[in-house]
Amino acid sequence: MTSAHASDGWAGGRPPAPRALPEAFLPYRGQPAGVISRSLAGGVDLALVVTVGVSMYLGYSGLRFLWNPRDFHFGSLHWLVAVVVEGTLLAVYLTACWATSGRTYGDRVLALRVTDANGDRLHVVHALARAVLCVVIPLGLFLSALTATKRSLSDVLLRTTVRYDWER
Amino acid sequence: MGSITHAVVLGVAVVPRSEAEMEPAQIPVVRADIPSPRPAEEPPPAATGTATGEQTDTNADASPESLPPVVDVLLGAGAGLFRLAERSVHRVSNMARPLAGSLAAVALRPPGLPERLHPETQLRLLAERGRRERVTVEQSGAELLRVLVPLIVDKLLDSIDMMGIVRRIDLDAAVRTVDIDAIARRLDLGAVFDSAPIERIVTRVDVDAIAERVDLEPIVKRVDVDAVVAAVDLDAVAARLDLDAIIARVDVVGIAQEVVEALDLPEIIRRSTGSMSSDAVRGVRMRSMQADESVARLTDRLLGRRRSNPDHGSSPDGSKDGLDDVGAR
Repeated sequence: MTSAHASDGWAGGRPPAPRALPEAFLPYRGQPAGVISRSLAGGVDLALVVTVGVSMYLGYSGLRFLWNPRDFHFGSLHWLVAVVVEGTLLAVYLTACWATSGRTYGDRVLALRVTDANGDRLHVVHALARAVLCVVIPLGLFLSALTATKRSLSDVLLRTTVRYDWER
Repeated sequence: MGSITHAVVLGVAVVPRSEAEMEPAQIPVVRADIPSPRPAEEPPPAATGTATGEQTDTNADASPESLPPVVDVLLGAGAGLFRLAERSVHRVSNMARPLAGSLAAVALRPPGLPERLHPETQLRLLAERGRRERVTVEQSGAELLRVLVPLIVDKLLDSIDMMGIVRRIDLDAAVRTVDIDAIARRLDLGAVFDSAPIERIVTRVDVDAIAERVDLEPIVKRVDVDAVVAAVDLDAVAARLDLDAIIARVDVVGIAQEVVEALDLPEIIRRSTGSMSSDAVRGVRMRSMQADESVARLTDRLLGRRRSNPDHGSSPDGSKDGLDDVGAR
């Protein structure tokens, strides 16, 4: 282990001391997350994806301006197209995050983690299904406020769980 | 005392009575009636002959103002006779000059005598001898003066109170008569400085010793620094500064790098931003968790569910929570 630590570049060949968790967090540690935390995390992720979508639109318009400045005008975009594109971006983003680290940026901010029923990281198909379900039926999130186990619609259908996980 | 007779001859007062008949205080005094210098502080003598008051009148008769004009009469008579004789001789000589010249020529060079026997030749020889004697006497006199004069001058100087003379001289009045401005105008200071060995003088001056002896503190106290600063035109000074050149010579980048390295600015920024973000995120997390708890209690109350104390560390469905494992991953 010592040689492995040394190869990781830790100072003095020893791993850094883990930061202590806040005293107030200990009662919530590993508990299912409630609807407020989930909604805030979803809002952060939605804002992030919308920002990325708007940036992509502005970038596309900029390229069009550079290509033909004289006839340039912002193209009209149907709302349905915009919703579909943003939904697709959101689904891809959620899938990638849940299948790799188990948490999106919103989950990281709110100290949440998405796992399967065994507490393991979601498979990519499992994550894709949960992402599509969350994008298509976003109101299913509020089922977590009614159930005793704080499970949303996607958690009930796909047997997943969102728990408090303070990142150390 | 009353038999004393006085005679005045040529301004000299003589007391002709025998000295044996007189008392010591009455010894006759022969004095020249020339005013002699006497100290100013001494009162004028009351009597010059004796100390008695009877002689006061006699001494008054011997003063210059009371002398009988006998001397003047004799001198005037002699002078008149001399002028009369001079005019007579002059007239006679004028009349006899042509005749005397011919007679003198014949007398000095009598015909028939050899030239060496002429009176003129003899006179010339006598004149030559006299000239030689004169020169010899002059040389001897000069030699004698050269020997005597220093001795005499030394004796004179020894006998003279030079400091007394100097004290009697009004040096201030003498200096006031000197036109120093005219002297200064006539001075060629440039030539003086050119000829002066300034470098040799400066090299011999011990400036350190002078500086050590100078008490600068009272001098500095007397300097009105405010007035000096007020008189300085800082704008003009600043206008003459070439700040670009100064800045170009300063290694600003190097200084900035040294300051940044000394401050470890990245570490400070990382700590400050990290602590701020962690504090903000911690607040959001804890508030959201408390909000979740409140919503859950409200829902349980509304739905009439009994809420059991959560068993921390275990999942709600009773299975062992795998969060630690997840966290480990």
